[in-house]
Amino acid sequence: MSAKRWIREIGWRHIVLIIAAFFALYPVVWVLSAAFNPVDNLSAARLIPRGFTFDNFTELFESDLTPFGTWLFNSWRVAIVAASLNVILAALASFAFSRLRFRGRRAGLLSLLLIQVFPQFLGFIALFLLAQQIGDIFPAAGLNTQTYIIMVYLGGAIGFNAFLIKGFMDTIPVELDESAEVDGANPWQIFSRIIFPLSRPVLAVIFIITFINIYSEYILARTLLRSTQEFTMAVGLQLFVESNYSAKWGNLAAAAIIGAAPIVLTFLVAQKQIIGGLTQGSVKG
Amino acid sequence: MTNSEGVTPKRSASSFSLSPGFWLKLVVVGLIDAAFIAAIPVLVANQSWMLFGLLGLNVLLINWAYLSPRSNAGKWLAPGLVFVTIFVVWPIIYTGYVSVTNWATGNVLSQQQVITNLENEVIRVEGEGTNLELAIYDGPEGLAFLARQPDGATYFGIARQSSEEPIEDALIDTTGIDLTGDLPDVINDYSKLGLRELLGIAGQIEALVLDIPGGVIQAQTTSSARLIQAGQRYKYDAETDTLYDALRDVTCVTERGNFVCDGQRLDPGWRVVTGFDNYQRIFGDQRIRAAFIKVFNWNIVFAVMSVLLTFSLGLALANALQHDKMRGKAFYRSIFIIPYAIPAFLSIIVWRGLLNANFGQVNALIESLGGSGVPWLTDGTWAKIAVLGVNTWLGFPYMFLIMSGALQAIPNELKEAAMVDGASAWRVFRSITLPLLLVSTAPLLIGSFAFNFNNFVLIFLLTDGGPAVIGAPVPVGETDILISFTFDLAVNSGRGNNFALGSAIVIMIFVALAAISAFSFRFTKRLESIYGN
Repeated sequence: MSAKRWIREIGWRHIVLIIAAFFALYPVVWVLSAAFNPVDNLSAARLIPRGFTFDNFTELFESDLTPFGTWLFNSWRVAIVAASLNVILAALASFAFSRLRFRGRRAGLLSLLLIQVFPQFLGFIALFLLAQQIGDIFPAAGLNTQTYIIMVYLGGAIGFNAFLIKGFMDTIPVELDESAEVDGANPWQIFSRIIFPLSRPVLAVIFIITFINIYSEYILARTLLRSTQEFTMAVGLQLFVESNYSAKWGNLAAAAIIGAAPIVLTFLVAQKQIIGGLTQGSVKG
Repeated sequence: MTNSEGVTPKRSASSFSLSPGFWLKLVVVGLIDAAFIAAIPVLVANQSWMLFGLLGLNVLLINWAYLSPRSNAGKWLAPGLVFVTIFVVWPIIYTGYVSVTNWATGNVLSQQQVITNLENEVIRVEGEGTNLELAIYDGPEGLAFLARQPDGATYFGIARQSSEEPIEDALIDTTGIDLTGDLPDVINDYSKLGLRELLGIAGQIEALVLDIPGGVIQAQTTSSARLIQAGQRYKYDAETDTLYDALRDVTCVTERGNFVCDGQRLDPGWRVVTGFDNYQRIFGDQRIRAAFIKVFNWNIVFAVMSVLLTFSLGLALANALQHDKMRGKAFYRSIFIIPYAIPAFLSIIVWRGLLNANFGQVNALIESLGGSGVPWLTDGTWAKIAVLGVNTWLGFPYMFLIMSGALQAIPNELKEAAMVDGASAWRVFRSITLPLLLVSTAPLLIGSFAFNFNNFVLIFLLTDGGPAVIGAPVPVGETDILISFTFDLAVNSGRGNNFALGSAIVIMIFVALAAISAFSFRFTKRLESIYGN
């Protein structure tokens, strides 16, 4: 096609998309620049740093006031434990909804969907008061403990995940169960040897999505974790903002890279599956 | 494998097969029951009836699911159900309960606890303060005092922190032990503390007291004490539900979770159900109502604008990329996913730095282009623009992904037919593409509205609801939405925690969400009946 026609049909599209790409990458570029910049404040930051240093990263793990290493560990621990248990319990429930016939099955499925209308974090006041009361009796599982927040997250997305997993299990031919049953398999064996292995791909995707949601969860973590040692990264990073913010810009950028890199890479690698799972009605900002 | 055309063996009630799995089940359920039974005394002692009921119900559920021969699906559902009931369903119900109480700082205890605290208050009588000789012992019940008056009378008993409740019969019988002259090193099971141990507790010594009939003995140093004749100030009368104040000689009556003496409220108060007071305050109290309405209006504007902006940008980009001859689709897609992939709390904190009025890069950029810096986060209007701008950045990738998929699903024949009939590209977009897009993505747009309606993390981390509205009776800011306003009221305020008022607002958010969902459901139904897809 002629150059003129190319501009009219295709060229303008690239211009629009490139402008949008700049908008999308603007904060990312600044973070990458500030993280390796030896000058550690907001105003002196230049896009192309005069030097190159890893100090911003090493400092993160040296400060006692802002124990970034502890926060990182807490974030990963809470998200991994809660997300894996969550997916396992959701898979068990899905099996019942998909394969067994029982009274209240339809009502149960409907309630699972209805509950999802109300995001769990809206109960933050009740969850805070519940944590206080549990803490009076079992201090190890009350307010300001990782145990409690893991249990909270564990309950959080079960309903929705069970719904997605059930949808997948419904596509597994029921003849497989029936032939296994003829061979004398009990329901537990049917689940653990046939259904669960076949559902693995969908369980992996749901695990990743649940992990990311828990890893990024803010309001409950902020409400239920009270001391610096127990913070997850989402809560801890605020300390960089609250005090001497201009002086902590480099550290914050380094922290943002450490916090976001694994998630962004996972997204880019498993783009199709994750986005497929996420856009099935769940909404992220 | 044979197909099950024939008769499948009927499933036996596997609960009573004595397989290893059955024993494992029995052990686990037994352990859960044992743990709960062990917790009962503590729960009762703490008067945690709510927790008692909640845990008891779930323990019963587990027992039924695993032990009853009639449960088949229960076994599979119980583990998940336990966590869903305790941490998802119960908080909703409990929020409703808290919203009809007066639960806030100053009213967090039960009435029994308040009465106990008040009855422990003592009146100091003048002329007290006889000096005594003191020795401190350590034994099975903790520290014990041996105090000797100048006339030789001795008191020996278990000491307590002065902040704790008095010990009834703290004195220990010392009949037959010689307590004249040098004090013995051992009395019963108690042994006298040596110098080094005394030094170890010297700092806390003044907080220790020994209860004696009609008063207390308070330690002053490790070797001397004072006798304080103390009397009880308050006395509660359960018959009439009143409290007598001996110091001022008045009777205090109970009123909405506080004792009121001669029109004066006595702190602390306790929790009572006050009905719809909190809701009445939100709508009836002029000062709270003004703040609430301001927040509510902005909340709606913010959510609508967020959906509009992200939708427009996402659709524009999806449209621009939607062409057979476009190169670099995967490249653009990957770039647009990045804002979506970065955990929101990280990018919001970064944006906060970039938007800083004095040091931020955004203003530096504007100034280098010849403009003048903007007070992004400190001026009400600019802060609202900043919040919407950052939310557009956060949310457009999602819309872009959705719209890309929805655009591909629109059949080309329709567009081509319109083109043949002489419709312009814009006309095709307006009359064919957009309506079809709206039909297929309406539930997601409404979902996005509901999400942004409660987009706490954006507001809280970017502006913290600020800038503050000057002269507001409750802490409220220009960019506060209901959920961030509630958060500050309930758990994050320097003015104490108002759990009850916060819960009342949360309940209203629940109502709003229920309405949005119901609307969404009917709206999609109607669209489908119009466009019939």
